[in-house]
Amino acid sequence: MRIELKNVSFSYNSVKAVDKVSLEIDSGKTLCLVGPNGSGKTTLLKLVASLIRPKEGVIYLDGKDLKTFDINEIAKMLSYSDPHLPRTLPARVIDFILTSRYPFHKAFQYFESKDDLELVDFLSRELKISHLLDRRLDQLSSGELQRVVIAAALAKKPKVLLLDEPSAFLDIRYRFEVMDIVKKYVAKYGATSIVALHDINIASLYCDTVALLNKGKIVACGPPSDVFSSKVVEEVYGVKVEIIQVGSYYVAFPLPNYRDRQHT
Amino acid sequence: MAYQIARISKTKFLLLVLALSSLLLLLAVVSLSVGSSMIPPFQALYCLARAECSETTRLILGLRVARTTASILVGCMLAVAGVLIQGITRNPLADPFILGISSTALAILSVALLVDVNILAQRQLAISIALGGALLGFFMTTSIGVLSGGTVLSLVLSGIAVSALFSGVSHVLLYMLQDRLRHPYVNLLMGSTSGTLGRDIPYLAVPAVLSLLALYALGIPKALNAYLFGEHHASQLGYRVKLTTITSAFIASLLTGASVAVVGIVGFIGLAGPHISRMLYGTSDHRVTVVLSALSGSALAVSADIVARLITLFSTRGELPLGVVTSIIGAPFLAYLVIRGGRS
Amino acid sequence: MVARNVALTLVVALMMLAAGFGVGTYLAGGTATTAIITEIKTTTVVFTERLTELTTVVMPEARISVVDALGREITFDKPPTRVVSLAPSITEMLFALGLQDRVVGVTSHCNYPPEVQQLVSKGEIAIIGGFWTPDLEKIVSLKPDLVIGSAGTLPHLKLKESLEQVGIKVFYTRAASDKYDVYSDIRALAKIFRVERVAEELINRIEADIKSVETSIPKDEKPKVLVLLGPPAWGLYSAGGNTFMGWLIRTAGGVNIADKFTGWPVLDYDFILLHDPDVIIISAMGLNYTTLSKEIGETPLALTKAFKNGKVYLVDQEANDILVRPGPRLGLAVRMLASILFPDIFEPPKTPVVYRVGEGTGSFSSAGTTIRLSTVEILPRIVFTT
Ligand SMILES: Nc1ncnc2c1ncn2[C@@H]1O[C@H](COP(=O)(O)OP(=O)(O)OP(=O)(O)O)[C@@H](O)[C@H]1O
Ligand SMILES: [Mg+2]
Repeated sequence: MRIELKNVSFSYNSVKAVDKVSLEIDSGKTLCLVGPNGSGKTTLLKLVASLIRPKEGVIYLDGKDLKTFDINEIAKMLSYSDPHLPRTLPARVIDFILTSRYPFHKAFQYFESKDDLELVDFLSRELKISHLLDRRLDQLSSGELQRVVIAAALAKKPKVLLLDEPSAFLDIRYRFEVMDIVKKYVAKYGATSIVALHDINIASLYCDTVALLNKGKIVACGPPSDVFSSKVVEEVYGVKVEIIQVGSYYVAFPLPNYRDRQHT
Repeated sequence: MAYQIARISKTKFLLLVLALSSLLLLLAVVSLSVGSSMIPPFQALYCLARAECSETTRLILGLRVARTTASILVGCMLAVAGVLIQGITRNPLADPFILGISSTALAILSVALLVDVNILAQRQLAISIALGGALLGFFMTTSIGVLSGGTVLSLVLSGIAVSALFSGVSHVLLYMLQDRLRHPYVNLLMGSTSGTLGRDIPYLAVPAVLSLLALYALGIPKALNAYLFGEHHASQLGYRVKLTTITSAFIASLLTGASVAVVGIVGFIGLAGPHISRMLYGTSDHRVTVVLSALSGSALAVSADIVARLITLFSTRGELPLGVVTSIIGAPFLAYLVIRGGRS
Repeated sequence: MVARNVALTLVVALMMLAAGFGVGTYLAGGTATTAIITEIKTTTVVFTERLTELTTVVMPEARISVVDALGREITFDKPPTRVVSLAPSITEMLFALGLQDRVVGVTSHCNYPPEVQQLVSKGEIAIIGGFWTPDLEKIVSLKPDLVIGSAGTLPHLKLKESLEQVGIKVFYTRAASDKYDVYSDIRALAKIFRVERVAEELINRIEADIKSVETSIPKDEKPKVLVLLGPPAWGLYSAGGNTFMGWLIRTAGGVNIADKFTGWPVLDYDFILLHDPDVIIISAMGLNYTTLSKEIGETPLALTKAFKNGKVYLVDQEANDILVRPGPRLGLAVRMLASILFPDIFEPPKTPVVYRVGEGTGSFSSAGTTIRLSTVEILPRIVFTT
């Protein structure tokens, strides 16, 4: 599904969180949002997820204004994962993942179908959380929870997959595995995904396009190697970034500013 | 894996429903046989079925059927209301009275009695007025809540404000009523089923059935499941969060209001019912906990009612209010479950 | 781990114990009270009489010392001259003792003797609030040297500290559970004001009144009586055996079906139908009699012998006052109750506002009417026709 943003702005009261953002993402592609804390990544994801409405500008899905979609259509089509899960009442992993199937239930259907359970089984094998399914959510490690959240996002088989910092808390192996799964999924189902990331290393390896946000504005957009090699990144973050070729991969590495000084 | 877990859960659910229903049935039979005159359970059932027993026995059994039905309904209603309120606040300590329903019911009933004392002798009218008061409380709480942002927090805070205001007001009104009625104890809406008659049952049954149907038809249990994992999670699943919150709060208010209007304020069940069901089932899937809470709340209320009557037999003080008894038997049980739950 | 398990078990056990203890004391508490109360019945008389003797013999003339219901000894140098009464029964006692010129404040409920209301409207006596809602400031502003309250009324007890702090003496009468308590109170009040002779005459009159009723009561026929305070929907509050009402029923020759209870128990219909009272007496609380009798007809009370035989009585206003006030109209109360229980034997008392509800009120069809008794009798055939 092709996503298009045209001059989208959003502000919380006086804080301008997203400022005249225009973007285009094609079907089967992954866009990474990078940028410093508070630059507007989460806000942008919420805008696309239709959890908040843009103050200005329009978001199109396959050329159709997001506003014109029915709430249930959006629910079936689009997945947004919020990693901050309230966990005051006890609930199990399986209960959580199964809620993602609710939009597909028939009217008056009370319990989930066999297909729902098979899908959960498949996803939990993929994300290696089968052994956690009947564990309570508050009894998981941060990385385990992160995988559960991604499983729940994928359980909708969404056309648009919006992930907020999916690599946070994951160990080095799962960082790759999770992104592999996302990429595979996106490619297989012709879905589109927008991923907010802090790990530019991962971003450079997995994203088709990188959009660099700063203070709500897109300051650079393009293939990872272009964006990360530009001076803008260093200006925005205030750290050095180097692109290294490892085999066939171009990988971006952030390095502290004082590195050169130490060497001289 | 998921399939097995789901099957185990479903089996567990069915077994629990079966166990709780049998317990409830057993308690109901005991409730029919316990009272000022003890009627052996089989004789009681036989009498109800065939009507071959003395006139007095039949009359007394008729009263007990009404009373037992009332406690079952009240227990079920309060516990379901508790599940709803705990669901929308995501707080296991919330009880159905936090929306300020009981204090407005009390205040409105007192106002009505000050206007015309004769309402005291017109039970149907008094019940309707108290229910109206409860719903008025709900509307006040939600309108303040919606005006102040419509979040659950603002709903709860305005509930606290409404209940504080109206319990103050009702104190003053009861004080005035005390003089008017020349009676030292004005215990309006004190939870008790001792005066409940068959004619009161529709006031409980109709709201209960309507609410449960509405819960099912509107898919509230699933909406609350989604809401359990955050507002964003719920809204990206296509649920309108504010609407769900207010609808659930309304149904909870209707359930609580009706039970307050008919038998008065009975505490603890609204808190303990959901807890017990979550502890038994192990997770808070509202599709299950609504059902289990209804059953465990009913069982709790009927046992409390039985205990209240047993105490009367051996004491010299007459009947204890139901709310007192629910706390006495409910609290240790809850403590046991909390400890057991905390250890596993 | 073992220690933790033990601790947890202990905590639960303690909670269970507390719950059990709570229920236990509740159960035992009631019985204990009855036991004590039965004892008071026999000892009170002796105690008060001895006290009277003591004062006349030992105490110097100038100082008067009495013990009130709280067991406090209160001493007076001279009889008080400005008295506030916090209860209708106390006002009645004071007036019956001829002390009306000492009374400066009464409650809004004090309506007997009629003289009280006259004095109030003339402004010679002030109203200090209601029986349950006395106004401290109003009391203090009257500058009384004695306030008399009832030990059975919580708002009265709450006044004690504040009144004593400003130097006003407070005397408490008993929460009377029989005539002896009333006599003790009358005697104690009389002693404070040195009108012992008047008191003895008053008590003798009351005694004679009760005796005359007692001798005519049939010994073999004891109707079962149910008393309800207020309409059934209010809650089935009845009067236990240790209350003044309980004593009245016993003395007037009836059997109170709630006799085994103490205080004001809540009953259920189950209990009432089981004991099937012959007579039901309901305090009408100033409600409309038609509404009230209609309600009674719709409850299981209509299934009792009392209702079927037309022996459900609504008492209100003056009749109710007489029955619930443990004061000098005690004899009248016994007589009135006896005339309700045995209408064939006793003349109806000269007291208005007793209504009879009977069969036919339940359906309460078109012709259902209440007939208000404006005469001074309980009419033998008042009536609700269908
Ligand atoms: N609910 C809110 N109310 C007011 N301001 C908000 C709110 N949420 C975010 N903001 C502000 O909007 C701006 C963008 O926030 P956003 O959460 O989109 O940043 P982000 O890029 O996701 O940051 P991070 O990397 O820390 O997650 C920030 O300045 C933030 O302070
Ligand atoms: Mg963010």
